[in-house]
Amino acid sequence: MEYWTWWIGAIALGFFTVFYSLFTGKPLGVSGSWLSIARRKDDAILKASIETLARDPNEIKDELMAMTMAEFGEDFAQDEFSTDTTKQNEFDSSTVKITAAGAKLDFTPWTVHAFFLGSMFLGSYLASLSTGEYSLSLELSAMHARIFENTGEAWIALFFGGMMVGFGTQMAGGCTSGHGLSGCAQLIPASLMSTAVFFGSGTALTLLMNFRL
Amino acid sequence: MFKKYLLYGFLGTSMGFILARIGFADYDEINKMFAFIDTRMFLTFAGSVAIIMVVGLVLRSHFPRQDKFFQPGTLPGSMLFGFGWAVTGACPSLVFVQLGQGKIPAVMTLFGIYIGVIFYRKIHSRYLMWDVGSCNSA
Repeated sequence: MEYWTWWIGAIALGFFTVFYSLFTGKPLGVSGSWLSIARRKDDAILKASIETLARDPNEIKDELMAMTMAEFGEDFAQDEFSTDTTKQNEFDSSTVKITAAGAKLDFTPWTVHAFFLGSMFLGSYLASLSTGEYSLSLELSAMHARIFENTGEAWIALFFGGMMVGFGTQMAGGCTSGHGLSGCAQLIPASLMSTAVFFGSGTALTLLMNFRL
Repeated sequence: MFKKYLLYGFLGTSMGFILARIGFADYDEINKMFAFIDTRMFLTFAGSVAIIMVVGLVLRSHFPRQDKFFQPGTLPGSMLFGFGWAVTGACPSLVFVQLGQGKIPAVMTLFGIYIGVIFYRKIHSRYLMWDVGSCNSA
């Protein structure tokens, strides 16, 4: 496939990320979609919590206050949250402000995230068809076949490599899109460091693998 | 909810198309990028970041903020991801692009990523428990 020049690719990917953020109201982050699928069983709890908060914000507030008192004691809650110093013994939770009250809480189910990821498959398939170069292949690429000499070795490497990708991105709290594109564009120090580290470690291992050839 | 599927479906298809046409899912291109043989991919990535940065500044009141911070897993997790990327040529999105291009071995990568994500969630909820701030999960 003849690939786009760097500046066409940069414009396409840059503006895609911008549109994604503007249309969804969230920064692009694909590892978050994976996380959503991994903890799909929590969707029902999350949805119920959001509905409760939307219906009656005070219900959540009172629950949180009760848990705070159970954990830290009634005195702590009174000292921290009571605004009326003359009524320290008559704590009233309604004096506590809730910043989330009235806010529109968005909930994207794991099925939508799965659909998003699956759609990438379709987009890539269409790109291959548009250039007339779609073909099924048992090799990832010529270079991959040179590095991993037999098919079994290559497939095992891909499985463990995939595990490193899945484990690593969850541990780092982001991937190429979340840290690399969205985070770096906002000059977030953790994202800048993360991006430098995953590019650095990828470079080190690639140079080592290529050196063996 | 149907609108949401439509929106994410359109965005996913666009992203897959763009990544495939850039060549991000091509292992040979990734290998050349990491080995400093070809700077095209680096320039594409850096150019994209620059565009997002400028547009984000212009539209800052409409632009969602990324919630990223240092946590104990940032360094080791990023390092592990880099190693995995060098071996598979894939990140969590590129594996779908590889599959869409007919690369059958990417099934192993997909399976590995899923196991890796599940494995980390189990370890994290039992032993680590710090806030990783993983993006866009709700």
